[in-house]
Amino acid sequence: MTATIATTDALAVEDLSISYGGGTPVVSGVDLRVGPGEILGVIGESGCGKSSIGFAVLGLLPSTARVEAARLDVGSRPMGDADEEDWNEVRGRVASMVFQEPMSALNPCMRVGAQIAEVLLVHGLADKKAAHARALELLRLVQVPEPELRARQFPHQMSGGMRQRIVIAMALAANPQLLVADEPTTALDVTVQAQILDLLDQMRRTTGAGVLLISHDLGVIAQTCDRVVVMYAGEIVEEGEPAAVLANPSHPYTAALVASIPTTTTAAREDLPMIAGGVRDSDRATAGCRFAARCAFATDACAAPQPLVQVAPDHTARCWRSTELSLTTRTEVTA
Amino acid sequence: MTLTDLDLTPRPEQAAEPLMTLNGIRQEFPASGGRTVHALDGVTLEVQRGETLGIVGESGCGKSTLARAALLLRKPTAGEIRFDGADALAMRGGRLRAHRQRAQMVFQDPNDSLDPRYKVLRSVMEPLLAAGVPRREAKERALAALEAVGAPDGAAGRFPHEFSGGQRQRIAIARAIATEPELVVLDEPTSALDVSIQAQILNLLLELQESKQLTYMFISHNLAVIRHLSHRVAVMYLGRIVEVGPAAQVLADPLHPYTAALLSAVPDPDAGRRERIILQGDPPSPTQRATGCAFASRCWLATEKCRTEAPPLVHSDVAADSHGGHLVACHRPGEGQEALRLGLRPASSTTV
Ligand SMILES: Nc1ncnc2c1ncn2[C@@H]1O[C@H](COP(=O)(O)OP(=O)(O)O)[C@@H](O)[C@H]1O
Ligand SMILES: Nc1ncnc2c1ncn2[C@@H]1O[C@H](COP(=O)(O)OP(=O)(O)O)[C@@H](O)[C@H]1O
Ligand code: SF4
Ligand code: SF4
Ligand SMILES: [Mg+2]
Ligand SMILES: [Mg+2]
Repeated sequence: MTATIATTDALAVEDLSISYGGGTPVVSGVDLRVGPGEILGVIGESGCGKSSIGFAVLGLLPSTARVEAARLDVGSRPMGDADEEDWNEVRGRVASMVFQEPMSALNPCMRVGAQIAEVLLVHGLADKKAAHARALELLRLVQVPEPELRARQFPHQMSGGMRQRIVIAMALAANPQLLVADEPTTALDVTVQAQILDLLDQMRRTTGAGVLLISHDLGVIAQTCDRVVVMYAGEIVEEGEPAAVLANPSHPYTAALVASIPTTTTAAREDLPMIAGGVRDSDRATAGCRFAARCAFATDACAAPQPLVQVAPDHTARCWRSTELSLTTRTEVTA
Repeated sequence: MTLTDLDLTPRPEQAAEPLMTLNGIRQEFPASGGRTVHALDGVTLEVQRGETLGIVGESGCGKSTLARAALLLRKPTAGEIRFDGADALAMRGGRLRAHRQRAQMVFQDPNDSLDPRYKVLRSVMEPLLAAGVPRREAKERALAALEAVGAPDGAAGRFPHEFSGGQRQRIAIARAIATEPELVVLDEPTSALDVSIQAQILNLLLELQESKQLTYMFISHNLAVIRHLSHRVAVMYLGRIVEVGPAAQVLADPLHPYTAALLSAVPDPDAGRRERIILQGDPPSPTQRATGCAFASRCWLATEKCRTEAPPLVHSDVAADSHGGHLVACHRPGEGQEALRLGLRPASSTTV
C-alpha cells in the first residue's frame, strides 16, 4: 500500500491550461496546491472550468481535450507527460474521484462490498480475503450502519446519501493522497449533505488525504474548506481562506457573486444585487480582465493583462484595482 | 441586518378571508408490493391574498404533489380546496376553465410549460386560448406578459432552445402571468439556475408580485431563497406540515426540531464553521405511515409518546407571539432550538 500519512502535497499544479477540440482554452494559467489533509475549494458558476480541472488532475479528460501544464504532480507522481498506463496506476490508488451522481461510479449489478474490494484487487493491493475484510473496515469508516448487511446489498437498495458513502469508501480504499470531489452533495438533501460534508472532513483528518472540493455552493465551501479559489471564465480570480475571500472579497466578481445570494443576513424581500449579462466566448480570449464587460469598476486600464496580486497575507486577487476599491457584498456592486 | 430585525408584520391583509384554503388534503399513490405511498398525509394550509407562502422541505416530502393538488392538476384522494370561498374540487366545465385563469404554475424546468416545437408566442398564448380569450386579444396579452418579464426583444417569434436557462424561465413566468392570475404556484423555479441568474429571477418575482398584486405559493428546498421571498413559511416532512408561521418567526425561532435541524444543516457563507445539528439517517419511506410523529425516527428528542401519538398542528405557548399564527406539530416544541441556543449539544450535533 502507499504511505498512510502523506508528507508531500496531495496536488501541485502550475500553469494548467485545458482546451477542447482546438478551441479557446476553457481553463488557463491555473495554479493549485493541496496540502496533505487539506481541503481546497474550487468555486464558480457553471461553465467556468471546475469539472475540467477535476478531470484533468485524474487524467479523465476525453481525447479531444488538450492539457498543458508546467507542473502536474498528483501525490508524489509527476503526471505532466503521463500516458494512459501511468494514469491507470494512479487513478484509484494515488488519487480518486467522487462525483455528483454516485450511481455513475457504481456498478448497478454488483454488491457494494465486492465493488469496494475490487478497487484493492485491481491494484494488486490485497488478496481476496484481505480485500473483503478491508471493505467492511471501510464501510465502518464511512459510518455505514450494519456494514455486514450493507456489503451484500446492491446500489439500488440504498438511498442517495448511503450510495455517496459507498463511493467515498471506494475512493478511500487504496489510501489515496488526493480525493477530487466534484459537487459531491449537489444531488443530496441538506440534512444528508451535512452528513457527507462532515464525513469528508473527518476522512481527511483520519487518512491525511488532501481534498479538491469543487462546488458552486458558497455555503458548502465556507463550511468545509481550508482555502478557496474563485474561478471566472477559466481563470482563478481570487484565492485565500474562505473567511477572508467570502466575507471580505477583493475581486469585484467575488463580491458580486456573494452579494447575489440570499443568506441569513440579506434583507428579506428586497432586490438582490445582480451581475448583468453573462460570460461570452470572447471573454476567455481577451488578454485583459475577463470580467471587464460585466464589471462596475472597469476602466480602460483593465484591458491590460491582470496578474494575481497579493491583497493581504495569504490572499490574492486578479484585479489591479482590488486594493483601492472598497467592495461590499451587501450593496449594489453593479453599475 | 439580522433575522430578528426583520419586519414582523407578516402579510398585507392578515384578517381578510384567505384566497385559498387547503383542508386535510391526502394524496395516495399505489406502490409496488401492494403498498401505498402517502405523499400528502392530511395537509391543511391557508394562503392569504397578496402573500408569499413559502413551502420548504427535503425531496420526496410532497411539495410538488401539494402544488399539483392546489392547482387542480390532480384530484387528491381526500380533502377540500376552497378558492375565493368556492369549492374548487367541485368545479366543472366553464367554471373550471375560468378558475384555471386565476391560478397558474411555474415549474423548475421551463421546458415543462414551453413546447420546444413551437415558437414562444404560441406557448405563452396557450393558457389564454384555453380560457376562451379571442386570438387577437390573446396575442396582445401574451406580448404584454413577455414585456413585463423583460424577455429579450423579438422573443415571441423564437424557439425556446434559442434562449439560456434563465431567459427560458422568464418566458415560463410570462406564460404563467399572461392570464392575470391571482395565485401563482412556483415549484423550485430557480433550483436549476446559477446563483447570479437566480438573483435576476427572484428580483423579477418580487417586482411582479408588487405590480400585479400576485399571491405566491413558493416551493423550494432552499431555505435561504424561501427566507428571502416569503411572508409566511410552511415546513413539510413526509407529507405533513410540521410547522407554519410568519417567516421571521419560523426561521429565527423554529419550534419544530426538524426545522431547527434543517436550518442548522444549511451551509451559510456568512456563518462559516459553526455548531450544527447533523441528523442521522434518511427520511423514512412514505409507504410507512407513522402512527406517531413522522419525524420520531430521526428526532433526538423523541419519547414514547412521540412514537405512538401523532402531534397535531397547533398554536404553541412557546411561540414568541402565540397569536401570530405560528403553528407547530410537536410534543416538545421549542426544545430543539433551545438546546442549540444554550450551546448544549444535542445527541446528534457536531461542529464542522
Ligand atoms: N467534453 C467537452 N467537450 C467540449 N467542451 C467541453 C467539454 N467539457 C466541458 N466543455 C466546455 O468547457 C467549459 C468548462 O466546462 P466545465 O469544466 O464542465 O465547467 P464547470 O464544471 O465549472 O461547470 C464549458 O464551456 C463547457 O461547455
Ligand atoms: N405520480 C406518482 N406516482 C407515485 N408516487 C408518486 C407520484 N408523484 C409523487 N410520488 C411520490 O410521492 C412522494 C412525494 O413526491 P413529491 O411531491 O414529488 O415530493 P417533492 O416535490 O417534495 O420532492 C414521493 O415519495 C414520490 O415518490
Ligand atoms: S481589473 Fe478592472 S474590470 Fe477587472 S475586475 Fe478589476 S476593476 Fe473590474
Ligand atoms: S413530536 Fe417528538 S419526535 Fe416528533 S418532533 Fe416533537 S419531540 Fe421530536
Ligand atoms: Mg461541473
Ligand atoms: Mg418536487
